[in-house]
Amino acid sequence: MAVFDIQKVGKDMITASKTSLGDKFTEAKPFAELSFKQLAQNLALITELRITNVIDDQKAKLHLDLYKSTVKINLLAIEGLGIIAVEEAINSALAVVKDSVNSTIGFAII
Amino acid sequence: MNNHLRNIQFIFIFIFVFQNCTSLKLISDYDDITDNAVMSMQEKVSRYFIKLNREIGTPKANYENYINFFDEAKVDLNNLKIRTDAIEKNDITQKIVKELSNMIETTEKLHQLGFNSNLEIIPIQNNFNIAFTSIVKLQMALKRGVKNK
Repeated sequence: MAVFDIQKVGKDMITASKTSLGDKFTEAKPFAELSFKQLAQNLALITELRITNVIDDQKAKLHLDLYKSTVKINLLAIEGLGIIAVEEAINSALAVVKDSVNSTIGFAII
Repeated sequence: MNNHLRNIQFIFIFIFVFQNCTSLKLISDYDDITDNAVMSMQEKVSRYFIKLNREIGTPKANYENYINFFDEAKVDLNNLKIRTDAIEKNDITQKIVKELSNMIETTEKLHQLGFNSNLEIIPIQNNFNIAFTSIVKLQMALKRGVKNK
């Protein structure tokens, strides 16, 4: 019994991440989409456990704290993946300049 | 003549500066010790859930029987914190370790309250699985970055 639209929650998470992470998000998009879907499903499960009285309010709050930490770890990893992609792109561009200078001069000056 | 000398000076300065800037570093390098420590933690957490799932509904699942697991996890995370704090440009991994510590502490609080059903464990284990997958994904990318250098 899903109490809310899991797909919508997943998509909303992707939209929010795109806004805050900007260009860095693009590289991590496939991984982010998959993990946000899993996170949305897990949030639905916690809600369901509370509604069906498997857990009480005190436990539900702790489950949500745990969930928040998971979201933070996931977003930090996505940010890291984006930074690595930017770093690789800049270093590739610098390498092109280096090769270009060296080939113009005729030997490996840089 | 002066212009010619200035041009030569400029070329030497350019070469000197460029030689020191041919690679840019925005994030810490891959660290084998951090990676292994995270993997070891992931294995311990997996064992915790397998054992707990089997024992729920019996006195064996009581928090008192799991204190060792939480103590060990906290020691490992403190060691990991010291390691990650010592590495430059490592703030993302440092924040991840902090959140992982929060997750262990919150799980301990839930265990202290007691688990009445195996259903309660599912979202907790899911959270850890998502968190560890995210960390592994980042570590793999850092490792790939080292190989590309």
